Amino acid sequence: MLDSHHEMKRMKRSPVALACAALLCSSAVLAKEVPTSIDDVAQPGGTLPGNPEIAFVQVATGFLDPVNVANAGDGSGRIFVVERAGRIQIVGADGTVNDEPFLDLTSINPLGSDVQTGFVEQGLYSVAFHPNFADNGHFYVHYASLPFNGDGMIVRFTVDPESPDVVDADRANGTAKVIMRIEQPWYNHNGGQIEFGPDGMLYIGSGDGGWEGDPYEAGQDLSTLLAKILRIDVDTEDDRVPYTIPADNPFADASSERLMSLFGITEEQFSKIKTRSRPEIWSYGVRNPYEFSFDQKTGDMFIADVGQNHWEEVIFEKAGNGGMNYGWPRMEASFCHPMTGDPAESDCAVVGTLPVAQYPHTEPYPGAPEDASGGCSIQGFGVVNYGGMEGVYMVGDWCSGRVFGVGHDGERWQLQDMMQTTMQFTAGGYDEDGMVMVVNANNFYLADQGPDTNPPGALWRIMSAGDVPEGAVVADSVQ
Amino acid sequence: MSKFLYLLPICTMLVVPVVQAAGAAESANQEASPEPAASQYLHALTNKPLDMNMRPDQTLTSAVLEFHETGENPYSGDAERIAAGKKLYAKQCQACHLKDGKGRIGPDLTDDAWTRERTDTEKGRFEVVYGGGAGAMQAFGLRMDQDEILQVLAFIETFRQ
Repeated sequence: MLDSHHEMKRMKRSPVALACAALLCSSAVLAKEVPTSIDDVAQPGGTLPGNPEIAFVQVATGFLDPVNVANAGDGSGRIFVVERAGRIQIVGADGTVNDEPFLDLTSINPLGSDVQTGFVEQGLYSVAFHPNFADNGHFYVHYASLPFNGDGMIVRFTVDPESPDVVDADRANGTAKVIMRIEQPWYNHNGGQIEFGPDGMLYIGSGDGGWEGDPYEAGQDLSTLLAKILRIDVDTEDDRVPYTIPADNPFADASSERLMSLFGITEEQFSKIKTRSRPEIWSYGVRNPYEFSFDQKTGDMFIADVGQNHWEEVIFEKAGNGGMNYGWPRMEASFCHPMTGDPAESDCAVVGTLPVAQYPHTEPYPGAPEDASGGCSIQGFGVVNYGGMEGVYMVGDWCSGRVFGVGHDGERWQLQDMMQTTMQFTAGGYDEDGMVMVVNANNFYLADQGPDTNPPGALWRIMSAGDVPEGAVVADSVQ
Repeated sequence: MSKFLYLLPICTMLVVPVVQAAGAAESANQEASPEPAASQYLHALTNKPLDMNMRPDQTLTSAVLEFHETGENPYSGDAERIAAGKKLYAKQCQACHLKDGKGRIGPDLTDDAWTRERTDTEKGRFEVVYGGGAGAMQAFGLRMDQDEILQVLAFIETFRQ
């Protein structure tokens, strides 16, 4: 951490050197570098290449607290909408919603639901389909377990080929394989997203465990799975083994037992011995990575890391670039945490890698003038590579209903304010054509009346405004 | 507040190609009138007419009917209704606007600065509570009867006194 801080300071002091380095590199190489200076972190007011305009085109409605969306990648065209209570609904390619859910975790346990939904941040978080789902029928869910008092359960189920649209209670119980249980000390900040990367590994967004301020200091603690992006290999030869550690995980061998050598070892070699680190860790220092997405064209990863009192942030990670420290709880977006006043007047060391974009809450720092356009909780949708856009990560805010696009214009990162909607966004995903799908719900803290009694939400497809089909229902918005 | 003022002219000419076959008729393609009829309630963000029948089973009390007529809240200053409104506020509003109305996720309700154009009137405040604004400021007309919203508004009024 200290090293990276010194590195940053040095770079900040040498703009000429940086510019020379830029000239020496091709623009393709330079593109999409993560900012090394706070000045280069994109903020609202930017413009994406081509100044794109988008629309939310309605696909289906009537979902109860929808909180995620995915496709099976099996050519069926089905879209799977995750409902917080513990159900997964199938939307056909024509937009019709099946009567019977694909999976219903509220009914697999005769003693009651298997899903804890007592707090609005709890429930069934996400579903991910195995890259070879069409052949092996494996899919994975992540949810807050009621029997395990809210612990995050990652479980594999296997579809019966005779019943591709319904995994009933018997089938679910008969095929369930628990991959991982993440202990959750408090009911909030549970992360949620699980997704297979382009490398076939399962990535898991794990929150800091909750309360506020990261009481466990989990973000910087390599001995806990909390506040991390995890990466595991679920294709184990022995099915009794829940998962294995990919050999190229950054801490794959850091805690392995070994003989001790004291002499003839470099400091860099010593620094890689971390006897308490968890080998599942891919990156660390995230607060609540409830949503992340892979750019389906490049394999790069974007993380929508939910912030605390003042800032929301978008993290960018080049494909395969593990081992990064994203700063929490030393940093909140690109500012030091805890914020005690105007960050422009504070002098503190940057810890870890900066986000590429950030937007403020109503109060950007304690005592700041109120800005009614502020947000409170970033929800990532997916990376748009169509409609004139390339590599644009779309995000929306759970509280403000605003939509932002994050992209790189060849020189720097841009955060473009796409539109103000009326909606309360919860998550996004892709359809089989790589188009970005979004769900909105009507749940919140005190207003939450339970996942099955809140007013229903809907499923949307992000399209270029110019490509909206005639007759489509488009979400209300103002630019 | 100032952040949104520039949106207002755009709101009135919203490009919303909503042409859904059936149910969208209630709001589709309706131009917002610059001077809506007294009885017409509009969405605080989009200026589109609100569905005034979101909870079909509710009773439209005499207070609600009077409010529709006059735009004045009959429960204003009514201690009993204010107390009831306070309970509803604690359940539905307090998480964002805080117990003292000073706001956190939602805006400050204790001063005369309003985020939306029309919320400086009781009718406008009814519109934003009933039909929602944006994001977490949902359509609370789905969660509360109109009479209850008048109770909440009567309580919120006490923040400004």
